[in-house]
Amino acid sequence: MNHVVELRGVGHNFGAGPVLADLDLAVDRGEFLALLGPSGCGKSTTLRVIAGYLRPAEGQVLIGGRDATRVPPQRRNIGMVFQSYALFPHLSVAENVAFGLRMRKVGKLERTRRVGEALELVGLGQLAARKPGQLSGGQQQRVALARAVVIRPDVLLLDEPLSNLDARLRIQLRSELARVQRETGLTAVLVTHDQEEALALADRMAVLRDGRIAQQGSPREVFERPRNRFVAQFLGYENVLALPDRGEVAVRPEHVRIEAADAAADPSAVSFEGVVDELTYRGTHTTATVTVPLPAGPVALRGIALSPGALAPGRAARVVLSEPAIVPLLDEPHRPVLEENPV
Amino acid sequence: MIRRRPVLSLLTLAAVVFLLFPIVVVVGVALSRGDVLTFPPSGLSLRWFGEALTYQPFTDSLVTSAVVAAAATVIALAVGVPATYAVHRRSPRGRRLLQTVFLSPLIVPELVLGFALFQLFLVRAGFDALAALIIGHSVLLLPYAVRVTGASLEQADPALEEAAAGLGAGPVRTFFGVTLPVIAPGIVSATILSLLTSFNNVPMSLLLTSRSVQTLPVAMLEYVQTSFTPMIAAVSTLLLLLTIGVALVTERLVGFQRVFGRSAP
Repeated sequence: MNHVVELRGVGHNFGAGPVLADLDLAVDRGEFLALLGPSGCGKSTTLRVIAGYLRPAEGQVLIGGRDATRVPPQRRNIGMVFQSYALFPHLSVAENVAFGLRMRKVGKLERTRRVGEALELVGLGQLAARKPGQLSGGQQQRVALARAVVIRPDVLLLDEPLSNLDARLRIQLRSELARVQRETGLTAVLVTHDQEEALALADRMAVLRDGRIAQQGSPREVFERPRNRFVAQFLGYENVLALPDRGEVAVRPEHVRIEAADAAADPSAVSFEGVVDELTYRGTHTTATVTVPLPAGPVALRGIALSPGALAPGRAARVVLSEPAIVPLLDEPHRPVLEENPV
Repeated sequence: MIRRRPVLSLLTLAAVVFLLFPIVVVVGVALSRGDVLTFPPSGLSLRWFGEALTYQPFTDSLVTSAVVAAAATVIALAVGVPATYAVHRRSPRGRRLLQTVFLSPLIVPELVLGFALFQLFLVRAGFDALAALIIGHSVLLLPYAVRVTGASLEQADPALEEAAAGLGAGPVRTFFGVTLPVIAPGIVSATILSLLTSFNNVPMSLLLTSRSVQTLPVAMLEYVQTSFTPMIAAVSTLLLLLTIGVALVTERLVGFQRVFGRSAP
């Protein structure tokens, strides 16, 4: 078996309902897995279970094929980058990076060499003697990464590593994180609530909801073919509706066209008539929300208003969905439409 | 500043004078050449400093005070720091209880506590006065050790200890290699506060001293009941200098704000 980490039926609760519920998860060697989800979905808890900081109430944790459920963190070979970085404030950058090697009784010569290499890897060779307090947020983040990587862990765990940085630095460090993972060939698990981060970094992503995996697959698969309402809405498919005969489908607002009711209609496209609720100016474009009476009840759909001058709240409009943008939500139960007359 | 807010400036000035005036008087009297406490001093000399430093009840009690302060501080920290650490990290629920128990010496009047310990140690158990003083002061100092350590621990990132464990450090190495250095400024603060508190204590010491074993404040109290020379002012001035010295050292070590302000590191 080639799974570096495997969780089998892991369940846990902190008193108020389950945080993890019968969670199965496997990470392959050299893979970059992203756990994505809103806060409280159990993604950080999953990471803590893998690291050994939390012993799950139910289920098994396997590392390298061996049962590690009861192994304390100091005897697992795992490198973790914390959201707060957790650098030791009383030690220099080099001593921080050397900490794990000291615990592993690596000799002084090799230690110095490996610390040097790790700091070069993250581009901080010249700051080895500084204390963490003298570094910027981005530099601290790199030290934390070097400290986790230098011990050559079985798996590198990243707990929202970029969330404390400003937008520009986040993108810069994101590509650096990708490079470090590629160059070291380490298996990595990233926890994030930022879909862009997951899409940019991961080979595979798992969207979590209420301590279970709602969907997993390659970023492209998950992003372009969400299978249920939760994943679709989390990934920005704002329009979820039940189409007669097709069940629940999801459409991104950028793939929906809102036009005046009297504009020439394209007979091949799926379209609905409705009433405009509001128009919102977005700079590059204007979006419109239109309430459409569907057999299953009225639904508010959002899309791009192509000629906003012809639309106004309260006026009739046509909502046009281009066929390739309609994503069927395969996991949602297909509710039969009871009404006779199709829209 | 003065022109813009005259009332506020005057009040501030008054407060400063009010705070400094007794100190000026004490130092002034200490420098007196005469035989009685008078202010302004009658002539200037260092005579009474010399007398104070050779007056045996004072020198003996100074040694006692130093021994008691040092021993009680060590005991209070040795008990307080690990206990606070254990409760903070292992059982958040026990935190409240520990706080209450360890802070109770702050609430119980010292005379009551002193009297209880006097009954127990000196009368019942027949301890000698030095041991009784050290134990009594340890109890008195525990709240400082617990409170300051607790505040430092609360401010320290709990992920630091997790990071150490994740890198391969067991609980003992984590405590000595990471936790202790991180809360060290807090422990230095607790040490200095404890030393000063013990050194300045009167009510408890009063009950736990004997003829032969006295702390300096008790010896001073006894002295002023019978004598009226500027020697007492000279001792007070020396204590003042000592306190200023401690404050300066503290400032160099960890910063004054950290020790006496509410914000631990």
